[in-house]
Amino acid sequence: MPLWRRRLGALVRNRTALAGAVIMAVVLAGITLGAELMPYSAVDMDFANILSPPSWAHPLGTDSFGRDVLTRVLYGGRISLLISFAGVLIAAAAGTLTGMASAYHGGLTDAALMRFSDLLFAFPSFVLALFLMVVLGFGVQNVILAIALVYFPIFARLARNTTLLIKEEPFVQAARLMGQGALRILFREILPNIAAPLVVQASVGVAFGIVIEAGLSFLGLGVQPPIPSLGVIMADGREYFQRGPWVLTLTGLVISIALLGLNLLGDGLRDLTDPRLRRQAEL
Amino acid sequence: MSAAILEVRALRTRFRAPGGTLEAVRGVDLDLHEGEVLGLIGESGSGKTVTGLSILRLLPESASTEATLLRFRGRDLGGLSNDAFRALRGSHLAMVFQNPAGAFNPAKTVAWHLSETFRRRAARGREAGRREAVADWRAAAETLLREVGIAEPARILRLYPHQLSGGMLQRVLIAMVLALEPDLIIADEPTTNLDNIVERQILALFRRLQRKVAASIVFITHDMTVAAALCDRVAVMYAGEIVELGPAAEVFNSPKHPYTQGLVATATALSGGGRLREIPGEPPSAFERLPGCHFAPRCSHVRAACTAAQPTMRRVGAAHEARCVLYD
Amino acid sequence: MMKTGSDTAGAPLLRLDDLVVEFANRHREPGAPRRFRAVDGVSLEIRPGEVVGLVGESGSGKTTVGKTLLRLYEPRAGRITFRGNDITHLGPAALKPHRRDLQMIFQDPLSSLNPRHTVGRALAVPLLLHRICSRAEVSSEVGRILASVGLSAAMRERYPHELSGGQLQRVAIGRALTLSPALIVADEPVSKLDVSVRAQILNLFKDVQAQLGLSLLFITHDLHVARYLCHRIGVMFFGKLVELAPTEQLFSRPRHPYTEALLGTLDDELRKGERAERDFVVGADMAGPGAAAGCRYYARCPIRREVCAAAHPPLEALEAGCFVACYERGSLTGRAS
Repeated sequence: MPLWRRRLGALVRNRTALAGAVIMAVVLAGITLGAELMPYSAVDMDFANILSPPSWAHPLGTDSFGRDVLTRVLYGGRISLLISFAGVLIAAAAGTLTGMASAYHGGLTDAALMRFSDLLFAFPSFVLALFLMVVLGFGVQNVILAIALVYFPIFARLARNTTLLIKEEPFVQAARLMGQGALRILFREILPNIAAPLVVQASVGVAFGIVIEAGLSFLGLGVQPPIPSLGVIMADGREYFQRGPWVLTLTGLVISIALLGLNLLGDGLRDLTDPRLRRQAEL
Repeated sequence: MSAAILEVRALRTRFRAPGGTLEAVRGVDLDLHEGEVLGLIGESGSGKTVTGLSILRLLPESASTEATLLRFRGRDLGGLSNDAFRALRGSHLAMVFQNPAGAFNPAKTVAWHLSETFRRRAARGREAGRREAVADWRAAAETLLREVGIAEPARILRLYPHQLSGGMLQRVLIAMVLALEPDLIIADEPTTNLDNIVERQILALFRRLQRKVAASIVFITHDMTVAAALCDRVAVMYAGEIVELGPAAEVFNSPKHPYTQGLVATATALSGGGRLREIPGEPPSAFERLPGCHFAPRCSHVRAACTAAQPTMRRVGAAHEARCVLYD
Repeated sequence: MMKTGSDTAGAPLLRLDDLVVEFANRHREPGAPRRFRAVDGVSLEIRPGEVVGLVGESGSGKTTVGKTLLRLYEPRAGRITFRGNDITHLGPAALKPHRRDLQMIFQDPLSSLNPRHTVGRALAVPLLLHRICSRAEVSSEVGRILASVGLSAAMRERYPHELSGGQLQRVAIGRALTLSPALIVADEPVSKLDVSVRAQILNLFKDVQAQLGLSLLFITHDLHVARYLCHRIGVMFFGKLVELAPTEQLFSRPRHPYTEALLGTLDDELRKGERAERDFVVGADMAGPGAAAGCRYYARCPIRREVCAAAHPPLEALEAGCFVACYERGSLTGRAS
């Protein structure tokens, strides 16, 4: 049986991963197709319908500008997810490269890089993100950068530690004996074998990335209105909470569901790739 | 022949696995007599370790074991609750593992491990109505360590498991087992990871242990020479069942089952000259279950009857049996 | 073609002179030294077409000798000469041309193959890396290699975890052979395999070595396995080479007391059909890594004398290519340096 089919089979059998995958599939469908299919606009205001509670016409109600909340959430979700994803991707790429190089060369390089990474890691993630936004300024690009910097040390350390383990394996020594150069060994031999925990970390990272983005935008430091992002919608909802509690709560609920999906997927993937469960063969 | 301390009939163990059901043990019958050392010989996948673990209920959740008979000193083991069994296991049934490190708490010293053992023995004694003074357990511990061949017991007591070599750890484990004075010991490849010279010493230790404590031992190994040196009787396992059973000397000097013959030939051939006799092919995976004899694909004496149905045990000597159609 | 070995008079293929390899002493007891010598002054020669066995228990340093010779570890002192070239301290670039000639078979066949690569890919990588054949020819070449080690061509699609130990070791041997090396270091290649498969792999080694005339450093803890394949055998104990002799001489007339201890094996009992009572050595366990300056074997030696505690005896040549490091058994009796 080809490896991908076996992996798919394992994924389906693991209920946590399956649940996570299903939720994420729904979320993704929503923010891609769903957003396009919605009859309302995410930005156009409709003062006739300000703060109307959830109804058939508006499943999540409308906000203080009369905009359909569901539509805004779907578009906002798209933006939040993209931001978070981009940030985590940058963190993963930079962190993995750094961690692998650090582990392979060892010595002072390793010590220096890891101390730098520890420095970043020492700050609570949201505080660090806040600090970065103040330093860098507001806006989407900087949010992505902030998320990337917050996550960089996690990937660096993970990549470094797993590389240290794999580096000593006989098949890597065999590759050295073949005459393979360091770069080739890092990318062809080591990277495929450390990818699994990195992917798991990435999925969890995206979840937290959404939280960071939402938090920053909520405080007005991130995505600027009228561009919807989940945080922006929540900020809006907070202001008018007394008159229209559904905006804040329902948006928060949607975020929670998305996070749940990502975390379940991450947990499931972690189970699947844990060698102690002797299922590594499946992956 | 002395009384049977352990009786097993039709032991079967299955595992639930992603690929299906894995039948690791397919109907094992064996008796262990009082004061006897029974060798369970087999390669990876033969089911020998799982047999030992099944008897001691040390298998994971995904396993299910059944047997028509499973008796220890006449008591039915199958019907015991898990708690009752655990009590029995701590006091009368002991296991020595292949990797001794797994039996130790890495955060505690050797001294702690030995004191725990003494404590447990005292508790068991109290249950049986005996009062045991374990006042000077340190002296008792040092004596025990000396008995297993450790020259500086005081120094070793202070150390942690990771500071000891495999051979030393195995000795300490045996000392702990000695302290418990169990009736039945299942030793699962206790010398496989050890060097030859240390291995011989540990085997000698087992012999002494057996005599001193009058223990009955099921000795699981893949090494014919080790079993020959230590065991009274041997059972050779292949693909989840016993294919030959008999007195050790007889099985080695005149093996009857073709698989046993191959194993003995490999074990002795290296000392002689000439080319090594090979057994072609590989042992079957536990997922493959054939309709007939599982050794047939590798057997040089194979005939039609072999693949038609599962062969049964046939008598080939006074107390010697082999599972092969050759002996009808 | 059997046990005579190559009579190529002339330069040895590989030569080790006083090799010393040290490691940091982890998990040490307080008071023990920080570094210990896994290999402490080992000198050895391997001639073209010769199979040299290196026998010893764990901790003897035999595996370290093998890996250091291949420059997987860096020696602290000593010299490694390959085909007349001093390769002791060459950098990776300078070492690359020699890499084709020096290969290794590992003890655990499963971890010696990248779990993410198919067998076919594992064999193709060296072929392409060293441009042994063109891209178009790779597939047929891989098939040929698989056949030469007794595997079907269909194996190329499989992943390591799908193969048994014996099959994996065959793949590893095939991979080592792709580069047509002059010397292969085999590190306990059969100890992790099932007994019924060991004979197959040993025979494969024997056939391949005879056909291709390559040299082999065969590392094992089992003297009898060494006997089957090797022309000469070296016995190591705690980093020192204590005896070196042609195979038959080693077995018929072992000189060092440790060799004698190793030879007292169980299968002699097997053939006698009796269980001899074994000496139960109640005494010091192995000498620790930080042992005193004297002979490494002092603590366990039944024939030790006062002079043995002073300094470790040098490896001394006796007749007919036999060497031993022992004051009592050598000819340095009474003459400690």
